[in-house]
Amino acid sequence: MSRYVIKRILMMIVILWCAGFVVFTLTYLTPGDPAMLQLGQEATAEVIAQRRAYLGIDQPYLVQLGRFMVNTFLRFDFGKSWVTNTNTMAELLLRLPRTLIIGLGSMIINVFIGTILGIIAGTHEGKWQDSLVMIIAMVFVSAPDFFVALLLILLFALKLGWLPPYGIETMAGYVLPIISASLGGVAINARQARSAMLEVIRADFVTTARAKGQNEKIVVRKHMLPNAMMPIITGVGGGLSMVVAGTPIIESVFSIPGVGNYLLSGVNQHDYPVIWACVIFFALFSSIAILLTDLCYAFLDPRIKAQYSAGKRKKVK
Amino acid sequence: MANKENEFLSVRNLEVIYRSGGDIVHAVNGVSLELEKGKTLGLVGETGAGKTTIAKSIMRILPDPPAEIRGGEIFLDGEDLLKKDEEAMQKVRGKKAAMIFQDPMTALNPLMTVGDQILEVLLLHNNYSREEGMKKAGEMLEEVGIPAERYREYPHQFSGGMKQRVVIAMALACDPELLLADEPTTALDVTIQAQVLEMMKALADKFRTSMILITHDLGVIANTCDTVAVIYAGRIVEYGKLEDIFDHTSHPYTIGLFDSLPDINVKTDRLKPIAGMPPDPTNLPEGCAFSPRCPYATEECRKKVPESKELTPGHICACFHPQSRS
Amino acid sequence: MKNALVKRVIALASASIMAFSMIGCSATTGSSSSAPAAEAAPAAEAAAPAGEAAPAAEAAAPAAEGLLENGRWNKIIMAANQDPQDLDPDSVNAPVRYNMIYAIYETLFDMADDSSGELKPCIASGYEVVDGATWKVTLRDNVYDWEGNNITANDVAFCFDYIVSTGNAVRFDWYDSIEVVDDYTFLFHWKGEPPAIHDLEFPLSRTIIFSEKAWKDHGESFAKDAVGTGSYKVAEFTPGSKLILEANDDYWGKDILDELEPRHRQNVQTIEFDVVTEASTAVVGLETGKLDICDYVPLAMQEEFATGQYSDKFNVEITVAGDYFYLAPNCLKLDENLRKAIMYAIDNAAVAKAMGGSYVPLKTFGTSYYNDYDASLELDGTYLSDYDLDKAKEFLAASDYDGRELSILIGADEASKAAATMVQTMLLQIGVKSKIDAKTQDGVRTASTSKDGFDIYMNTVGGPNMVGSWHLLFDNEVNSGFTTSWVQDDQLQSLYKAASADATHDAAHMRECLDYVTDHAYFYVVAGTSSALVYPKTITSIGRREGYVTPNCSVYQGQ
Repeated sequence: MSRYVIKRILMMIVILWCAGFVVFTLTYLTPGDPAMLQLGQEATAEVIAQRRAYLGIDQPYLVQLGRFMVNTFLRFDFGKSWVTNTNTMAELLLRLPRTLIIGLGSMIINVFIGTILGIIAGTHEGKWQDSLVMIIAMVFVSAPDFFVALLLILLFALKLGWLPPYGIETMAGYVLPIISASLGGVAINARQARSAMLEVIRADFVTTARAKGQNEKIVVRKHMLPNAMMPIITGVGGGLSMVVAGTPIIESVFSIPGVGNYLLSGVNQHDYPVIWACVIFFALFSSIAILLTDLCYAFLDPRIKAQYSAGKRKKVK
Repeated sequence: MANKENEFLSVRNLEVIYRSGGDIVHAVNGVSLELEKGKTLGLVGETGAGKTTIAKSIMRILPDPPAEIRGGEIFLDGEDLLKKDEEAMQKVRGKKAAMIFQDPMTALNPLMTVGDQILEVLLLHNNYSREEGMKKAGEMLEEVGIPAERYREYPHQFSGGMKQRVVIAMALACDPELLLADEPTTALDVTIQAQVLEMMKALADKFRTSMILITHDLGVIANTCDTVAVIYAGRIVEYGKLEDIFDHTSHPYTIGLFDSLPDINVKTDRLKPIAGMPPDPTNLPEGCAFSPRCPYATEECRKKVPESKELTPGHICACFHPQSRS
Repeated sequence: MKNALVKRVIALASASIMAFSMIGCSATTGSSSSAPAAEAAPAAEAAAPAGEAAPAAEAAAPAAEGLLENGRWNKIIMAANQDPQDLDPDSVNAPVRYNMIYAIYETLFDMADDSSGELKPCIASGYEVVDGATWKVTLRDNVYDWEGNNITANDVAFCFDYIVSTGNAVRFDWYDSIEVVDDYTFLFHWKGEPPAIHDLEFPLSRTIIFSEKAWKDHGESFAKDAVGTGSYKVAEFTPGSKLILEANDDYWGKDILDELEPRHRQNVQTIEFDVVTEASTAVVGLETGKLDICDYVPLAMQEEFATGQYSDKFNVEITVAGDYFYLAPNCLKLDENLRKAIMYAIDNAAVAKAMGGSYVPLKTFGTSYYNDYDASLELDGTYLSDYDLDKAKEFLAASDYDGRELSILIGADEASKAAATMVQTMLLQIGVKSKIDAKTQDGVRTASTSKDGFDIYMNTVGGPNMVGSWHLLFDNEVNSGFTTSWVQDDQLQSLYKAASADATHDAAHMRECLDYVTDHAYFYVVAGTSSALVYPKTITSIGRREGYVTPNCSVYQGQ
């Protein structure tokens, strides 16, 4: 098993290299001159050339690429932002906790609520609970999150005055962003959980368990749920890798200085170091999330654990 | 009405339907049968005839939204199972009556060790501590020919035949008085089949368990059963002791079944199937369900449902024109 | 099957009902009939007419929020539309942070806010023209940054070298080099004799001077710590969220505030800038008391602060920006009749509406924002004010239009795209076909400076004053003898020069120039931007610097 983990970590490093290479090349190929964009319409050619030299973008592609790869992967230094002169890595780390709070918070909520709703819907298939849950989920997923965000601000900040309309001065400032960001995910998780439950409900081993005289609640808990977990965990894994990347709109509405905002401003201003840093960081986070998910599978399902340990493609019987 | 003497299980006029998208499937239509203590009853019929439904009705583990028990009585050791509430039934299942299912590959929870799954049923019906239970579970494994050390292994680590043995161990762990075996060897290859059947029979004898063996394989019936019930379209068409059915076959359907078996001594070019298809269970024919395919059918057959006639004591046939084949 | 269909219909209906009820009970704050607004009103009114407790409460509050002993107002909170991101003195996104940067840092001189070009001494105390291309500048000897570093000529030289080496030296066309003479004296070497003070605006009044030692000490975090010489220092800075400035009690110029430009005033003790990018969130901030000033309230939402339920606490000023969105036809490819046809077919009010809530249609080449604007310059009776499809079709019939597809060149931003799409639709109404060619900034630059690059070109222009904005439009030096719209007309050039020359820079000459332009359909003006400035009644006079609201030089109640 530990061999498996090591192998995966090595693969992760390779993936990050590839991500770095791709994002660097893409920004290199993007039309438009960052120096010209930053200095404005009135800058003379001379000044622009000077700025390009300062930014290092007048060098040939391979030189730039080499410098980028060395800096990023050997020194963990993404360089200074071309627009703000601050160290990109430092800024990224500073903003990370805020995005994580919103991302993880909303993911936990929507996994929790979504899964519970899905289990209720699945165990009462065809009855009113099922329809009600699915309607709720559909409404949540249809409402765009910034719209919901604004409604929540009006209700809780203006009308009731319980929560601040923006900003992160206090932890209370995170409540509305987390709620707004989580709603869409509820529907997805509910659907997953529901179909997972439906599949499991029809399973033979559930009938076996009932035939043993086990009471229904324990059948659900000990037999159905563990087996239904797999698709649910897949959904969680997917959600987890989106946690860091998924919140720019919410951050914008609530003025939260997080990673999403950072990437957005980087893209708008052609601030390539910011883009590189954010993208590679997202790749890192996603890879870790996926690795954790896969390890979770192994933990839950002995068949998969055997597969990993064997290291070969062993078909699960 | 309680059982007659020696009658351990008595099913009377059982009627079960399934609702499927507005249609009603008539799965079991007035089935009655008896089983004496310690004996084995074979239920024979094609797929979809209603055999599994009968077994699951006895255990009361039919999936509730689509399935519905519409009428009848099931007496087990003097009590009507259909009148019990869920809590009472939970005490019966696994302890008084146990069931073995068809597909061993999916019958076990893949995420629990085999030992724990046997342990579960033991702890449900006995006051053992966990250690005692585990010991007993190990003993049950040995009983079915699996070393007790394999307690901690997972189902995927066992072959099909061994999985089925685990299932049997699970079913017999609490010493049930009635064992329902739904095609227990159908999914196994022939060599293993014999082994497993042997073992089942031996255990049943040892513990004096009454058994209902569901199968579509006449050979298996011949080997293990004392009485036989032939089911067609949710009704019992012929019922009797083993000799009655095999040596004095009476119902045209049963005759058709025997005729379709290839005889190793006779050289033929074609097999002899029963002409036609089983009826649509949502739309059963007015009279005898077998009449469209029966070579002996008359107008009466098509109009009226035949009653069960007792040809000889214990040998019942539901037909207007019972045959006599030897 | 029927069951499933019924379920689906019910689900859809319930979802729509829930969605609509959510929309219905949401308040676009400011709309006249909104439930939550009506319910928030009792909450606010309860504070006021709930008896005499209110005035007492109001009196109690300003004590914490009002005038301090030192004569300064206690605190003011202002909304910032964009994230300042950093406080680097040479960073490129300056306009976002005018009112922040110039409270913290200072330059050699301050250029007066009107177009006179008058230089007021700041860090430098004066200059002397040694010869045409050399100026001698003397510094004050008592300028300190808030870490106690004294600013010397060496620091000045450091700052200039730094800005040039990082390629940020925009508009340094005349700057050649700097030579230190002694601690407080240095020489500017220009590349020749600069024709006007305006050409030296950037080196003299826009290059921030800071201490070399402080810069080296703070290294990479200088952009966050912002060690400057200005009248305010940074108390707290969270990029993307908040900036808090405190008045610097040790400000070197605190005793000569009257001699310096008003922007150095210290009328407030603490200024807090909150970054709120979403205008509606800012409005909620104003309503809940989290914000005091916001200068980007959309016109649709300012009513409740001007005359509505919050009007007792706020004042509203509608501000017009200087920049405007224009349309330049390629006069080499489109003849005069075709140009007039196009311009009469365009309804700039509709285009402005399509561009967004803050765009307002214009009737002249400039807005009231500029100091040389005059009401007599509104061009009524021309295609700017009249939208006439019949006239357009007449002109079209008289033109050489051969039915080909015209290309409309624009930058790739949302407002331009919306405008171009409207124009395209309007042209179709008279039968002129067109396609939209959206490019990135340098793509636009290349295409607009080539004779075949476009048939119609739409972009934004601005300037220090109205005629300043005409440089990019009417001046034929822009494209070596041709204007942006590819006009080579000596009469236009002389009228333009007359209007912009200091001696004849007046409304009459400007009007003459504009009449000529519209007679020949050389250009079209679409729209300018306008927004509402909402500020508390506790500010008795809004201070501005280059049009930006500066809290520290505004005047407060009791001052």
